[in-house]
Amino acid sequence: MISANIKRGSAELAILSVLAGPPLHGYEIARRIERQTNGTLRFTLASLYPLLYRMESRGWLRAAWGETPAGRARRYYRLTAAGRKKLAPLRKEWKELFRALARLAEAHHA
Amino acid sequence: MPDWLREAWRKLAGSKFSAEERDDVSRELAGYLDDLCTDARSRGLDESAATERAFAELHHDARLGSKLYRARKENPMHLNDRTKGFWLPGLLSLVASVVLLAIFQIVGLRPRLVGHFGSVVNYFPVMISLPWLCVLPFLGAASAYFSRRAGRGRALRVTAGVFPALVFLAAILVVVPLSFGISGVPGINAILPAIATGALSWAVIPGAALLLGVLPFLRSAAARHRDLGAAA
Repeated sequence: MISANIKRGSAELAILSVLAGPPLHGYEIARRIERQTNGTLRFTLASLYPLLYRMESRGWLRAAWGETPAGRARRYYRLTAAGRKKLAPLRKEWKELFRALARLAEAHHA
Repeated sequence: MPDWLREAWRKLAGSKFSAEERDDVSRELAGYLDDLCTDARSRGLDESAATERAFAELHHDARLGSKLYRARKENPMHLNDRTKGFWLPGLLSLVASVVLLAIFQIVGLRPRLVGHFGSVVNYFPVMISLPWLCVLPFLGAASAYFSRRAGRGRALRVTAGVFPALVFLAAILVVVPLSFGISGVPGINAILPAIATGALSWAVIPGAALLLGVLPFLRSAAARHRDLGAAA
């Protein structure tokens, strides 16, 4: 069953996916998603932070203040165990969605 | 370059954030805007164009403050703010203080007599445990720090900080009259000095030690923000 809230779901998947690696601060998260999707997914401050805070509230992310290599204070996000647990089914759900859409497109083509 | 901390702080005006939370969120948004500007300039934009782009992101959504507030408060499955900012630090501090007092007693650092009230018949000692009093400011500081981190105001930070002393006081107010009642020892003339000396030994003096640790964490977010602004 595919989640109804596709837009939010895709954004959550993107954030969880980039945070599967080392902790990142907000701007790094936005830039990394943009780079890894070749600019298809873009976050702005207004779209990123409400989502980060919501995911943090749900316990999927944990944030802590740290310093960048240049010595600037930034709030770094990392996945919690609950976030990692969420990532696997979310990935599966999205793969199912894309497979279903591909089948639809092929059927339409045939 | 604009003072992004001030711009973000202004942007959150009218939101329901407490001063502490607003300070925290402003710092984070300011960091994002600063990175955005730096990145834009490294890609060849001049300063005014980079600044304009950052301002456009900041002001893109007029309801940003309320959206951020709702997102931060959406935690039905997790600890609420009062639990995180008061009960948890207060109770942890209480447990730590009791455990430490017990450890000090076990290793032979027993509370010492520093004075007394009453006569030989009704003798009410005032006791203090010096090693215990020395660690209490750290427990008070830890409670106040976690309370502040959870966005609680000064009153709750102080209450969380001195929470062990408040519990000890409540226990004395209950236990002393109860023990006198059970043992059948004389009434009010003996109970009041016993409560007074007990409270002094286990609530007032430890409370003062705890409060000592709380003091550095009582500065308001607005004052810290002013300092940050002045330093920028």
